[in-house]
Amino acid sequence: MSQQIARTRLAYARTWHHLSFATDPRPLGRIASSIALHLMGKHKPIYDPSTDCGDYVIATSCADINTTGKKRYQKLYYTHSTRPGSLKSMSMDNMFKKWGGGEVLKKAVRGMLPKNRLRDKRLARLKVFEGEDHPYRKNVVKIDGKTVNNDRIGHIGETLDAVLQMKNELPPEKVGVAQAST
Amino acid sequence: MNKAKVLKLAKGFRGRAKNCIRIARERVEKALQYSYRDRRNKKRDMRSLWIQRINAGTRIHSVNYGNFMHGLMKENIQLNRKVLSELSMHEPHSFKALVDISRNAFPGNKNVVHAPRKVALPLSV
Repeated sequence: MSQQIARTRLAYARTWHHLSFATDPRPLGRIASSIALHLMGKHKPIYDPSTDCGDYVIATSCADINTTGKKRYQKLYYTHSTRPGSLKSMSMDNMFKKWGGGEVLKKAVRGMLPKNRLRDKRLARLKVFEGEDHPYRKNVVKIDGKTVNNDRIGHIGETLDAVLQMKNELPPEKVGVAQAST
Repeated sequence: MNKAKVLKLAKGFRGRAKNCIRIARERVEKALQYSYRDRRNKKRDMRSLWIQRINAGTRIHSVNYGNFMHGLMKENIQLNRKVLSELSMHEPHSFKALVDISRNAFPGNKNVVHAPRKVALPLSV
């Protein structure tokens, strides 16, 4: 019976998280790890591996991705076309120039997702942009003028408060009113 | 086991394994071995899932699973992981109370400070 309680569309609704590399000081791998957790849905207490309960993540300013050390010029990305002798390598800097920071981020996140049939679906929920502009502003919900999800991507407690407030179960002074805004 | 019993157990199998006794017998034997093994694995898998859920619930309140459980043990709260995971899913305010109790008993994690960004210098041209 307890398995039925959380089976509401609202509980499984996918939220949109936004993070900007311009303001986030963490390096590439640490952010990618956090993104992968949110794409999998492991930041939610209702997580279940059989349901794809992951969220969307919008990553902007990917041109400003921070890497430590000399990785930018020394880390190599390899491709191979299965034809003998066709191993090609490209440094991270050249990846930035040719494909952009978005691709570098996607490669990092792709390696951090579980290698199963859901991997590509989850990766498709990561939306990357080189600049600050993105077409999903209406999807990122704000409460009290503050986005639902803070810098560290994801704070479902605030979403829950908003839901309970809408159902009049929480005293109004504890919580802001949810407004969908750009 | 006679053929009828084996074929009864083979219902729902793929292809000839559900109809032809020679193939069905092999698949049914394997299925029974898997079910024996998995009755033991299920207990492990469920506990792992409960721990993942508790971890997600506590990280919402900036505490990780290990420190949370340590705090509960210090306060001698004997709720098991099954119950804690149910609380984290369906009773968020009660769960927050538990997290607060645990955090008072064991403050745990130090604040993580990120180093400021350094500009990466290109290698010698």
